[in-house]
Amino acid sequence: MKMKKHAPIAFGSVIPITEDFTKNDDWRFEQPVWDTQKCVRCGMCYLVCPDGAIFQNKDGYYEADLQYCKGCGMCIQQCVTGCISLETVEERAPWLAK
Amino acid sequence: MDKLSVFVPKILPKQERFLSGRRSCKGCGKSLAARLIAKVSDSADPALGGVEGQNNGLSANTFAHDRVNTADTLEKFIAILDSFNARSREQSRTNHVAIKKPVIAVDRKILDTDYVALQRALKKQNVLIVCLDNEPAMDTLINKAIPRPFVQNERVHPVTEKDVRDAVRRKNLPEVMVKEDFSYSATACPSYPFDLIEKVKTAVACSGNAFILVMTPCPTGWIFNSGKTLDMGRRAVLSGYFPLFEVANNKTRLTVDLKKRKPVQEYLAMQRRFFTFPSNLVAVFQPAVDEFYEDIKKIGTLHEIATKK
Repeated sequence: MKMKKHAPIAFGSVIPITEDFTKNDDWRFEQPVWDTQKCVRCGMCYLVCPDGAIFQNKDGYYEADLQYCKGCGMCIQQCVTGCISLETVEERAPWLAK
Repeated sequence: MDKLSVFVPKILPKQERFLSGRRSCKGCGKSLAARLIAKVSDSADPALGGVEGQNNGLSANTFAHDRVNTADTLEKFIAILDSFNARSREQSRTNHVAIKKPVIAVDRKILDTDYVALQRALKKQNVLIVCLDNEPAMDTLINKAIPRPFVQNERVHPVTEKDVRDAVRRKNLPEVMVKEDFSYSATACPSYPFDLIEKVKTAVACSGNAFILVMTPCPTGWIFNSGKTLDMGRRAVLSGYFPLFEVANNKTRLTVDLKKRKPVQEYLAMQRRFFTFPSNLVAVFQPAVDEFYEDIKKIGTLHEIATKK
């Protein structure tokens, strides 16, 4: 029976934790979803996003980069036509409920 | 054409110089302001920072980017300035494209603590300083105002009406900066994004040092819903608590001139951090804000009269 070899442990093994800091996908409880029939492509959500997580499609519609989106809901508050809605990803704990 | 481009976000440059990550909280006002400034400033290497000021224990160097520098303390600020000057000297020698004007964002605490040292560092320089202010001074005032047990209550200094008035008066930093030979100084807020962008453009274009004070609402510190940061900043401007004005060529001009201001108490009630604040002191904010707002108007007219004659 062959034992699996452990990966070599070095001082650098701590560093991969910092690499994960670039992703925000486990922070959010909700994520924004665009309704393309209502969207006017004004770009207000793109301007307002504090993380720069919203980008433009090939079709010209806007979309969230789910690697960086924190689900703060700023784009929903500032949307002109109200085409953005929240989709729940995780259920909040009762003491965190709005 | 300038008036037409006010609400057309599509026209803005699409380059993203801001690194998104876990440095900022949900719905951070600071990171939004830093992102908009980095997007607009056309200088070759805009150094932006101060976003790390709210970070807990994580060093800024782990997230360092080529174009993003941090000025959390005064030592870092001077180091960034020196690196810029050295680089511009090299570039002028080798006939490369010279750096126009470095943009450095600092936290409010540098100005509060090390103001004299900063004043000396800025002699014979050509910099735009963006001060990001999320009102850390107000938190100390709130902590002070919590009623103590009856034995301690006599020893601790109580919060008076003068303290509240001084806290409101601190928003008048640009007026101070003009006396220090700053060629352009202004206040801005990310809830009026195109106003902020135009002010940054004029500040970069002018010769000499420039200064912009940016109010950045903080949802974790002020305790409100993270989606409402822009509404919070807008309410602060509409109530006259944070008036938007600019000082150029000894003229003050209110960029958002209000005839009817909204009550300040509604703005304070939106923030959960004021729920321990005594109710008799909350009433002091309204006359203090009224005085402050009308003083800025008076100064503007005085400057105009002096220049006309």
